[in-house]
Amino acid sequence: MLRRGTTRGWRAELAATASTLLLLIAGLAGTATAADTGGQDDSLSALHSYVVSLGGGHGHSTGSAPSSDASDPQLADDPELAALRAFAGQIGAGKPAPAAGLTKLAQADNMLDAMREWFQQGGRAPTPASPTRPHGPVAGGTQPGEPPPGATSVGSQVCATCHASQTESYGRTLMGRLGRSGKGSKLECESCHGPGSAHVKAGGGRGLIISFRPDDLSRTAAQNNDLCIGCHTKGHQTMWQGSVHEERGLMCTNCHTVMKNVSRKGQLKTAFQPETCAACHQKQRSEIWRTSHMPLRTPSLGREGKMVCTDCHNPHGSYAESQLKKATVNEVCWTCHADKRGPYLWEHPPVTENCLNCHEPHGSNNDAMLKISRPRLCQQCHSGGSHVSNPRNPGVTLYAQGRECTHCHSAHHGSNNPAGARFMR
Amino acid sequence: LRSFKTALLGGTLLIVPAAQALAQDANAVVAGWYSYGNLTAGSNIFVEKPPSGFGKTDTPPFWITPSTGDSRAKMDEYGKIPRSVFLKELWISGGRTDGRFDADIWADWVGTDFQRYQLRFYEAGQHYFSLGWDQTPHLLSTSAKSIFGGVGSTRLTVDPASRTFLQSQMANSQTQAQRDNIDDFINGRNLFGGAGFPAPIGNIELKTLREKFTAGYRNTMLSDWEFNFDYSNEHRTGTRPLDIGYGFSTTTANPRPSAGAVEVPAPVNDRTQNADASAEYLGSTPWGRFNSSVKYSGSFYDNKNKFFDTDNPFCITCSATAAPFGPSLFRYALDPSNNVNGITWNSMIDLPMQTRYTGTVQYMMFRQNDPFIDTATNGLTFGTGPGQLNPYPAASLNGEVNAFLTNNVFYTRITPEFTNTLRVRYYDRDDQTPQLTFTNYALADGGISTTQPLTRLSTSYTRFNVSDDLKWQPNRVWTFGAGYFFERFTRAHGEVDATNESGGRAFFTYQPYTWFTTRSSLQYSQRRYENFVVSPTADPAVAAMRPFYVMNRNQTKADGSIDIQLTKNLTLIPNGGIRWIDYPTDTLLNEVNLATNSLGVQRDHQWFVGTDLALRITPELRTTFGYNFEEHRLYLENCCGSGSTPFADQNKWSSQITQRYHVFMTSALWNAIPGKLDIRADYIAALTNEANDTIGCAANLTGCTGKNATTDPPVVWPDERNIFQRVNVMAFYYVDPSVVKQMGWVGNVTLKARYTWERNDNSNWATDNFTPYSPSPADAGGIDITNGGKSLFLAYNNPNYTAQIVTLAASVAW
Repeated sequence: MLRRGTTRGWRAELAATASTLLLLIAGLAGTATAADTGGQDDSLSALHSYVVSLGGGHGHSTGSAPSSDASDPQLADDPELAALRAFAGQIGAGKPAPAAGLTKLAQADNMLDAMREWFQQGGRAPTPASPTRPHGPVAGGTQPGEPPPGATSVGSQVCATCHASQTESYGRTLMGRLGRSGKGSKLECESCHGPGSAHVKAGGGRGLIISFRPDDLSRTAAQNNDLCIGCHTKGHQTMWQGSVHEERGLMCTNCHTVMKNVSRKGQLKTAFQPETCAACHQKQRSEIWRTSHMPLRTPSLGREGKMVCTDCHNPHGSYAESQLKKATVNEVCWTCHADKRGPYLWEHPPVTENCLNCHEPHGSNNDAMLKISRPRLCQQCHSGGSHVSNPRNPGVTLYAQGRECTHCHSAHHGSNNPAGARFMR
Repeated sequence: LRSFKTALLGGTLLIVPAAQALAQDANAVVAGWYSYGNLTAGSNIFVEKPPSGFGKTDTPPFWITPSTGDSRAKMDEYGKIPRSVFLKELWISGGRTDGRFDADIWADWVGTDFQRYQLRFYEAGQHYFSLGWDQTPHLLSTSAKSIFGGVGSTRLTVDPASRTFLQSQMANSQTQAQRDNIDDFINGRNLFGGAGFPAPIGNIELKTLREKFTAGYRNTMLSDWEFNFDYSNEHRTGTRPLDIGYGFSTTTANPRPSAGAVEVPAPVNDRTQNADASAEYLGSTPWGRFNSSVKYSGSFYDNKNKFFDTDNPFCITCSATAAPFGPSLFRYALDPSNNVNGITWNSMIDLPMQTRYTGTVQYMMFRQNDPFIDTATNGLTFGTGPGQLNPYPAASLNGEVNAFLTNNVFYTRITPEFTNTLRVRYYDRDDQTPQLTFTNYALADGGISTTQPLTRLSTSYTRFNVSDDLKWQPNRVWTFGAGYFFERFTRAHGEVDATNESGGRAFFTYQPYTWFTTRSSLQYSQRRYENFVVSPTADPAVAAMRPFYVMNRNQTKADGSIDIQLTKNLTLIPNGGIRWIDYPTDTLLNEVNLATNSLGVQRDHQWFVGTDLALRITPELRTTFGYNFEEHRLYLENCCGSGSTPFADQNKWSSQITQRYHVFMTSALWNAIPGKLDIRADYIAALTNEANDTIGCAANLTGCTGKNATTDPPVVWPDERNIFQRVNVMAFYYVDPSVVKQMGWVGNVTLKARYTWERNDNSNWATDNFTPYSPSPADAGGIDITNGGKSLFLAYNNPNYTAQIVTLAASVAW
């Protein structure tokens, strides 16, 4: 864990390490600013800090060359950095003209403006986006959405020059940390965005580099996803190809945000995972607001939020129905409700076969998330003969009140009692 | 607890300035370390707090009858809202800037019954460790009424004097006076001028608490290998409501257990441990890549309580062998301990012709072998003589189920635009549990049943699926897909030998402009069974069983949505769908049972529609609206089972259950002072209603009208309705960084104020939500409830509440 610093003695580092750990435990350890400015000694970080300072920590350093009187002596002494600074200084200074024949990346971004265009064009409908029609600067590429031929890699340092805030937030993500660790050398900006020289020479802008923005229709979902799947092809993502979400043309970036941490895990677009899923699954979003539900709601005053969709489902595909994480519905339920797993001496077949025969997992208006109230729930199958066939007037019979059939047949999930063949013990 | 929380919170806040100074000093000399984090703490003030009791008042008779008052149980169902100071979140992220060590630690809601702690530390790309501890409560009631002693243990007792009195009022045919006496006694009142003995009734809490420890480790040191290990250990404790039916007779041995019901607080004390360990290898093939993983999965459930005993409040000298007959003691078997062990092999292989194969082979072994409990609890003895229980055929079940799964997916990119997905899946649940046969067995503690032996039958089944989908995505604008699927489901001892379901589906996505996307899908399938194996003439109750999950059905499913940005500031996302299931007339059953229609579920129709809307009124004011409506109609036909033509039309009755759900959500965010002050408000209303329209049989028999006598009113089920509403108004004030600096702090400080109004309103005691303590004639509007005078419930469920809460909090992010 401890490694002797290059410029400081081991005692200093030991003291610093102890201090930092102490602060970590206390939850009050320094500041990111302090740590960044005082704790990084590599060129990229120095430039990064410098760029951050230009942009007030957030904005772009558009076109402004780093001044030569940078206060950090490291900036002045590092020849690599000097070269980089010179390169960055050219950015925007001579912005090249757009390539001939380029059109806007996207036409009107809303229906009202589209209608205006329609009227302005004399009633000609706006042309639907199509890869057969050039879509901005990407027209110069070999394929829609691909960087133009001849584009070369410039390295992440150059990207950080302008995209300082993104670089900073990305550095806090797991992927960013992986890049920092040196174990993920492939995780350069251009690993996903493609060679960036054309983009840099153009002074930035969209079109000359791979974009994952939802309004960029120049690339298919599969093309975008292939970039992610190139690495994420194991574990939970193994079954992405052919999954329902893949089939329906979803992109990884529909749910994930790569450049910053919003959620604690999985780099999702929302802090609480079910809200990401609810963006499309509005029906399920509504169901969790029924009175009988699992703790799936967005936490309010601390309550709820104890479960998330991926406790049961794998949105990247699975070997079971409804993208469940286990082979059957029951096996999923038994993860937490192992008491119902059996095998019992006396089994109740619809229970053994599928919990969803009686329960509505996303929420219900009935006790225990039952699909309908009892005794009708039971009478769906027990439809005639003996006492089960009585419609049970709630104003007349005890067995229409409260928990009805389960007043007596309370072991309906199964019984291991030799006296429980009728699920009463 | 409050002192602990106050000390924790206060102590944490007090050391902030000192720690900040220390941090700055440290950072002056530290090389290669970073940290940042967040701390949020505050306090709640209840302007209106629902009571812990059952309702309007906590004294009789108000909790006997359906209540219109409030109780806090539903509000605190999944966590008790802190009544004063709280530490909502502490997050610290830190590590070395060279990526050799990173760590995140979270502490959420410290000191509450829903607290959570997580620690994650790793060297990215090498080792990832995680630890967690979490509490999740499930509170059902804070006001359940109980006459039982020993709540929480496996021995529930009732005061002997009370049992003696209640038994004295029991009879095969109770008089009204006896019922009234019991009613007065149980309810601790003197409504009918009865005995008026005050029963020792106490308030108890029905709640379970899950405490879960988790640990995980992931190793990616080798670029081609990945190792994972996950473990969880969950301990669940508490009490839950559980009903027990019992028999009573002064003349007949072995009475049917239908005299009455007793609801008891059953003990919960169990532990579930789940563990996964896997190794995965990633390699290459001549056509691309492959990976292969092997995973061990184990799950071990240990129920500390194998059974529990409870006194029968209505009998103290009841016996299986002498009058009065019936159980004086209920011995209830709780769920047995069990375990699962299994191996899963997953692989993905790139093949020629742009094909990727993904396969799974899994073998799981489910086991359960808890000793059978002794059912001779009421004077019965084991032996081979008359009136004796036959010895069990085995000391335990030796339950053994093996499940085999193979799932195979061939994904082929025929051209860049065309893809094909072929899936073949086979699941075999093989129940190898011995087929034990019980003769002269105890029937619910009441006596010995010698009618016919009972044999435990196998529940084996297999499920075979095959499907093929062809997708055409010529460009980003269009996606078309169509496919076929088939399923064959066989059962060892089901009502039918097998079901076969086949159908087709189609879907498309159309995104012609950046501001317009629509998705839609349609699916239709038919399921038909093979060989209805239950003899229709053997037992009407069994023969009439027509389980919806095996019977013939025609199913249509469709859904669609449109995402359209109308203007720069207005986005609309309407969506809707249906799931239409019809169970066609069953010719086979009709012929046998002389009915024009089959019994059971006839139709199961669901549809929903909704829309989301996002509107930016000004750059500083943004709003969202969401509305969803869902309707579910279920139509049943049932019949009483008496007479020579038990399923004749005139003996049938029908029931239509209609569920309607409205959910409305809206929120607004106003940057009142940009960068300084944000105001956010949101409101949600969830309205649900379940109507049950039952039409009695034409023959007007009591057995099919729901009446005990022809003078009783017709079957009327009141709607079950629930309305949940919540209003939140929140203000966020971002303290000027210069002020923060002047205070000697570093980072971003946000002050938060919040007002919450929350209400749940539920009606209909008839179904589940307002279980009366002891049903009596007075509680049922003068109607004589069958056996009402012999039953006892916990009266635990009151989900109504209204709460108003003001929250003040501060958040520090550094």
